[in-house]
Amino acid sequence: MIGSMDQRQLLARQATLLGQAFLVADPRRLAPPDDPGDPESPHAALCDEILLAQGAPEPAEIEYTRLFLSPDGAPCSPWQSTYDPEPRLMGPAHHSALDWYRRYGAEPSTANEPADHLGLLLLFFAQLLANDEDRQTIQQFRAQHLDWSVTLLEKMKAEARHPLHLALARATLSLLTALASEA
Amino acid sequence: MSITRRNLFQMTGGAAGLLTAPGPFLAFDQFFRPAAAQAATINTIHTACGICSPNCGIEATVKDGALQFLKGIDGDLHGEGHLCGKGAAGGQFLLDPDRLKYPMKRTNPNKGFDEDPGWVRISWTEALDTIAERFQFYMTEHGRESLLFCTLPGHDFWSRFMNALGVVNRIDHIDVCFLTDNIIQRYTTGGKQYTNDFENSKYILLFGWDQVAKNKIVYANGIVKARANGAKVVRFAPTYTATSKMSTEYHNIRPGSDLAVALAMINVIISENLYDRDFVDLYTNFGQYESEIRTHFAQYTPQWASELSDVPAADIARIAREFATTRPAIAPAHKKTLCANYMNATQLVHAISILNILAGTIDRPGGRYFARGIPLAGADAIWPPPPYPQKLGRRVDGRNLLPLAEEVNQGMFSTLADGMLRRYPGMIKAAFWNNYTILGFPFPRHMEDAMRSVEFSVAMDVIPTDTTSMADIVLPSTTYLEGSGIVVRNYRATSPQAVARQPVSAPMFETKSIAYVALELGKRLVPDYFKKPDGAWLNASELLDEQARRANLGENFADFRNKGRVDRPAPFVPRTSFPTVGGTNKCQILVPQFAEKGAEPLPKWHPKRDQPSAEYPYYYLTFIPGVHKRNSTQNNAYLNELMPTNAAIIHPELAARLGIREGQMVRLTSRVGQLEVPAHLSPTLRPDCVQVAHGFGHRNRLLSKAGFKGVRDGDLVPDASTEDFVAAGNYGGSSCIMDAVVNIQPL
Repeated sequence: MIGSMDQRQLLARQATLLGQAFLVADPRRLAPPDDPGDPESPHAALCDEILLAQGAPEPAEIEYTRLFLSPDGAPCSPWQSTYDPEPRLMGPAHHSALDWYRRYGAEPSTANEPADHLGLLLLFFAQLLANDEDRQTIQQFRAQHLDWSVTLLEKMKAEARHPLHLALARATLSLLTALASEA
Repeated sequence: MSITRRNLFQMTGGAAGLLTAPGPFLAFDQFFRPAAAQAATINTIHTACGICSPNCGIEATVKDGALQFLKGIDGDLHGEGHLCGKGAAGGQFLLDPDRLKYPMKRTNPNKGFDEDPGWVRISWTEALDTIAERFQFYMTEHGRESLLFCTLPGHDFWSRFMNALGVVNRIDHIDVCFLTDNIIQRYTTGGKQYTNDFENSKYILLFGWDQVAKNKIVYANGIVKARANGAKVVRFAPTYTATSKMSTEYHNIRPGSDLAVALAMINVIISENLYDRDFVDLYTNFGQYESEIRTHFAQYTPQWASELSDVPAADIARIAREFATTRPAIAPAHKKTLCANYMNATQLVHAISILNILAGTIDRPGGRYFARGIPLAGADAIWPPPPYPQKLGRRVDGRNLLPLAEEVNQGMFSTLADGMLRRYPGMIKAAFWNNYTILGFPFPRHMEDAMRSVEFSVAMDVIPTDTTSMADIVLPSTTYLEGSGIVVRNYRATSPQAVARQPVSAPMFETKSIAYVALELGKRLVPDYFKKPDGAWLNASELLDEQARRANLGENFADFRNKGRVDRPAPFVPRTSFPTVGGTNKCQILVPQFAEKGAEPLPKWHPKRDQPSAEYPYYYLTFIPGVHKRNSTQNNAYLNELMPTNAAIIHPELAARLGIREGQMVRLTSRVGQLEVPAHLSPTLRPDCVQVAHGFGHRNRLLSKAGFKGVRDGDLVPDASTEDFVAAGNYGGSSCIMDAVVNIQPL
């Protein structure tokens, strides 16, 4: 599926929306496509949940905060290096991600935040797809910077109290599964 | 790696055109920007630790702005090239995945550990506007007394802000720390309490003092050097610790009876005229009150003290003689050590100060130095504020009943809950908590209730705490590794030093300093206090520039920072005038001003508050383990690995009598509460004691390392009222955290 240009663009758009959804709490800042593709797919379910949440954004915003940022301790840390054997912010995965971005002339806008946030990683991955990078490069980035997130996504599935975040976890897992099957 | 290098920001058109691509692709440049650097940069930065007050020098290795490693700096005055475990693990404060990252507000008004606060992220502007609006409302409607600030005075701007508001109720933890010694030193020597010249001492007498076990390097090195120089070190304590191990003689004293031993030692030294006559005659008020002093102490015989303390009378007398005649000698008293926090701690610290005076080593080599620092001009000296308003209103903790504590404007954790719940219920409407958690209070359950009684509270901290969970607004605080400052070292009086604190990392996420909060709230609530004469707003960078310039550390802060540190060694000139309260310029053994303030002019025997009984037969001792800083480091991954939880430490003899095995759960019951905790058998304490480490039992379930691990030691420690303190002669406001007694039941 990575081989086809159309498929790549579709995956890139999906990864971009997933990245955004991991980065912003307010569903009104998300723009799901008019045609999300297969209506039975997890991605289409996510798009539906985003549209629904936009009508009543506060519960989604509260749940986003609880899952990822809560001052009481967040159950689903979105930063890759917090899943290392020595969990911490700005660990080796942060530096590795930064190296990837810099090879492409980019870096995160917020320098004082870790570069290995799943949302940033998905946005960057979308650009690799959209820019027609070779399969090996794409799979290398996936292996280095996306596969870890299965742990986070499974936690999200167990923890999420809002359908938007449950759908986000499922859609991201679905994307990762599809990519892994091509490796 | 075989990849095609492209610049995502230079490509235009088609699928690669980020900036012109339609729809969601626009998201990329909302979160990314053109790279400023092509490769990683690694550099080292010298700064000062901020875990505890000696501020040891640290060298940080930083990669791309992210801290990699911390180590000591060779030649550093305090650390001498070393860092303690807490200092070395400091990077984890900065990089803790759980740290508070953005301002948040609660959407669920119900507060409690079982409630979901419904946090949502807000901007700093919204947070500060809300706080200013609510504080103004409560001040207008209920007066300044309705605001509670649980905070140290902190940055000059923060103090100015509280002074400008006329805050009546600022509370800090010093009553669980060194309040008693701070009060006593003002009246007996006029000095500070922390500058001990151990390395030049020949006889070191420790009443509970345990800073070696606390890993305070500047003190530990002093004791090590003293031993190498042949000094004798005698320690009285009910627990055998690293400090005991570094001692030449250790006495397993009964808890709370150090005062009896100290009083008897004074008696021996005075009655046998062993004191340093030159010093005492010239620099103390002994001659003026000799008769009263001799008569007073004559009642405290070594035999009497032995019966209370379990220390043999002959040893008490011998140690007294050795202490007085082996010069120079020193007896430190400091911090939440086993001696300084009983109900009779003020009298004990007074007695310890008298021992130092009799030894003639106040501001003498080998004794208790006066700190010779490098004076820094404060913000109020640089930009004098308009007159501050009078602090009108009721003192919620009742500290006004303790004039000696009121004078130093410190405390009172131990009586705050009583004040909020019983003395003046409902008086406190709004609270600002700055880096304090209710876990640090005696009997934190009372503080939980007290916090629930507050209508609006703000908590600023680095990581989630029990207090942030109960707040309405949470503000994320920077760590000491993200800020700038001038740190003056004065633990070693002969060679004061100023070092530059500089950030090893930009403030992460949206964390801010308390100086920023002070300035922004000041602009909103008391703007006239935050303007310079030319009408421009004060700012923290200019304050550092002025401080550096006025102290001749550099042309400005950047110049000082480039130097890194400034040393001002000077020949040591012993003091001949001692700035004690009362203006006699002498050290005071008998303190006449104490009598005027309802306190005892000479230390008198008082028992500790709670004594073992049939119902509660065992002494309950808490302690701060050397690998942790009070209650703020249990979530630090490295320190948590060293000590993840606490236990009830019980002597094997007592455990055998009670049928308790290693690791077995036991129930500890005091007159205020119960704890169920595993037993740890250790011969390091008396068989009539049980000991539980402080700092554990955080209530945040999701705090990844520390949440719900261990028990809260304070749950067995009764808090108190100031009336209790006055009645018991606790005029120095000791928080009595060592006074509890308990029962132990195997489960």
